[in-house]
Amino acid sequence: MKLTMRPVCAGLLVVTALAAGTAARAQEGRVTYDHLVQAGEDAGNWLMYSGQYHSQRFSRLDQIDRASVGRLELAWVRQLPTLGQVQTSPLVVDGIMYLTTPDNEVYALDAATGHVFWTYTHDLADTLTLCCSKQSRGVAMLGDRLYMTTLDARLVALDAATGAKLWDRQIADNLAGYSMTAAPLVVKDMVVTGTGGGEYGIRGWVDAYDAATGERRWRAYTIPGPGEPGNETWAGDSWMTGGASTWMTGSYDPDLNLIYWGVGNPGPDWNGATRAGDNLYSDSVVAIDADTGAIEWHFQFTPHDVHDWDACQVPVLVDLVVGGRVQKLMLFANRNGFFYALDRETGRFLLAREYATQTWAQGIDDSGRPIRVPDMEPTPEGRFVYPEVNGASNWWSPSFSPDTGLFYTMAYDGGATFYSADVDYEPGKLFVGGGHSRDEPIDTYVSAVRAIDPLTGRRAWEHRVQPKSMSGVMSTAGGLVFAGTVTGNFIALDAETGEDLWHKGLGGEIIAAPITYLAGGRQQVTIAAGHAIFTFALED
Amino acid sequence: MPTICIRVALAWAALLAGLAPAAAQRPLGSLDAQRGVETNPFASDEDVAAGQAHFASRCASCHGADGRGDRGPDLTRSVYRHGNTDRAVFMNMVNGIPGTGMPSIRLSDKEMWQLVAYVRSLGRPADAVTTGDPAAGRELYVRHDCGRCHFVDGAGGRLGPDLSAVGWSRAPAHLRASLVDPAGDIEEDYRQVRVTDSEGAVTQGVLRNEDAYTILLLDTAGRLRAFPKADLQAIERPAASLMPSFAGRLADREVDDLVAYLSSLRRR
Repeated sequence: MKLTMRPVCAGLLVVTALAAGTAARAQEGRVTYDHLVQAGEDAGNWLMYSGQYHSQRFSRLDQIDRASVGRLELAWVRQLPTLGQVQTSPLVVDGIMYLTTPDNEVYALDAATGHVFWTYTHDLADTLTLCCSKQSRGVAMLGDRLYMTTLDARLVALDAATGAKLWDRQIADNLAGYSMTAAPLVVKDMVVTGTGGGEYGIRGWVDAYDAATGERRWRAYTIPGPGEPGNETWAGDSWMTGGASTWMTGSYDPDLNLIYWGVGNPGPDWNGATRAGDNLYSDSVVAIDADTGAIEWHFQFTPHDVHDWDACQVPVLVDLVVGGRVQKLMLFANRNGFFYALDRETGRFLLAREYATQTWAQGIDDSGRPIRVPDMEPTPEGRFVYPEVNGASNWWSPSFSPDTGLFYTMAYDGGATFYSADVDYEPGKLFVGGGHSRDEPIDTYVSAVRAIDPLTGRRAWEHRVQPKSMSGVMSTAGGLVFAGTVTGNFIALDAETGEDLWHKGLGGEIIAAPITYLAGGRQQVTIAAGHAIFTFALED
Repeated sequence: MPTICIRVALAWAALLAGLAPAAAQRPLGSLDAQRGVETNPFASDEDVAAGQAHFASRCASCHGADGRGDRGPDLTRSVYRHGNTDRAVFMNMVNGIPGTGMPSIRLSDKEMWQLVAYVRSLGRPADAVTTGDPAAGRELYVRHDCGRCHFVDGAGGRLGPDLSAVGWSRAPAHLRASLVDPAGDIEEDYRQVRVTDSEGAVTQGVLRNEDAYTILLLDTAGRLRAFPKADLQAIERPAASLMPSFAGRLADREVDDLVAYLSSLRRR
């Protein structure tokens, strides 16, 4: 179909609203649900993980623009006492920055100088069951409270002014593999979180907790139980240990009252023999009624996945004029190598197009189901497939600019040899059924920031970086796209063309997403790199 | 073959002699060498005595000369909040305890274990007892509106320290002293400060952080505030605590009750 589009919000004047919003909160000293709904217009703050409920990671701030970005200079650095790779995406509320370290510490900083107001240290369990390294990617805020989920599967509420712990709930059993690394999402008066554990034979879910008390309001299992639609997509009892984790932060549409969450791989990862069927809702995005927890619709990107291609990406929600009417879309650059556009009211498939190298599918049919290339499943001897296990993209935040109408993501062209192996489920033990190896020299690996036209899936431009990089991206009304590389370069690209307008070496891997906000009336951009937080502003 | 036996014995002796200095020169508190050591290898009476000397120089300023606690917790309790095994105590000394005032201690492994031996020798069967009535103390806490400034389990004000776990971290004698002489020992984070900006506006609160260029406060409205020092006319630091003294306002018995209540606050 031929589509023409224009962004609904393009050209929106927000400066007045921005100032008014900041003043209102300064009087109240707290973040209300209404503030969160209006977060896109309150560009002076960064109120939730992806910036706004629609997760566009786009800012209306434009002090830093194509012309001025060359004068960007270091404002401050905050070293963090951790051996871990810092992946946090901070919040900024009225000049106070809140962030987490990989060890579940929380910091409150003066956003203008980086000086510390307070720190909170979580008393982590001595023994942790984790698939991967220790990580914590941020907090959520409502009222005067911060919320963090932890590696040992707890939900913690803190007083934002002092860091004092208000309550601390054990929400799952870490020894059985449940663990949290993502920032939660506040919806209304609830704290919504998923869980990691897809490599431990968990049964995934999305939970909502009362923000005042920590009591659970609802749980949406991402593997249907017996008698529920979709349970038949799991052979035998395989649904009980099928994974389908929910380890990244989701999105929300207040008008539709739907929470959208990406769902992870089925388990065991690389051996599908014991779990014949599509394995719903693994590798899907689910739309959840915010009041009841009922799954209203789902769309599965990779049925019966055997390559660990979680749909762990942040769903990006955009309203575009298509064929003369506003259409509510969801954009999703999936780990399996395809970019998708869905109707987010119904989950109807609209289009898919390859955005990175893939060899496992001939294409996507009219219903959105992949047309598979034969003999791509892992074997004991190994099979080489694109994309590799980390995927064409991963949890790295994408962005959408209403100004350019383009979707941006860090993409990766790389393949791997996938192996299968027998495995029996044992609680708290890895349940992956195989492995993988990367067979090419690492300096041949290429990543790229890619700009995609959301209504055709076609690539508008790319900016290549080497070697493989894993940062999130952010776009701004200054006509810029910010991203980072594994070699430590923080870069600003022209959002229209991909031209490199500014870059700075930060001396540590950038595996985090940028944010921007105002501090003392000045636009700043912050990114985590290595074991530290770096903040940039235009020279005075 | 006595000759061979002697040679073997000599060889072992030489080997051990060679190892001993290396062990003595091991870097301070080397965790790798102590990995898997669960029980104290240095727990003789002589080690306890040596540990007491280390305690006097490294620990007594917070935990009291007799280990009964002051600003730091009472170590004569039978139960510690952060672990009760020899190894847990050892690791808490090596690493410090994040989120508390407990720093890491730099001594050799042997000296650390001797310190563990001394600390363990302080334990007695029952917890330190307070003579007051915690329930009556709780009523006093409410009646005197302590929650206006202090947090307990998620409720209360922000200007004073969070008391949710104060029973773990402060000895009864220290709590008593804080009630009757609050200015006697004010934590760095709760020192009063008053700043006046270039237009004469005054902000009062407690100090959160400071360097040569910037000062950070929690103001009396409970908001975090940062000020470039270059923009300030004046920075005042009143010596008084924001907390009122209860000397003369409470009977001795009531102070006992309040101390008993505070000592009972032991959220983990």
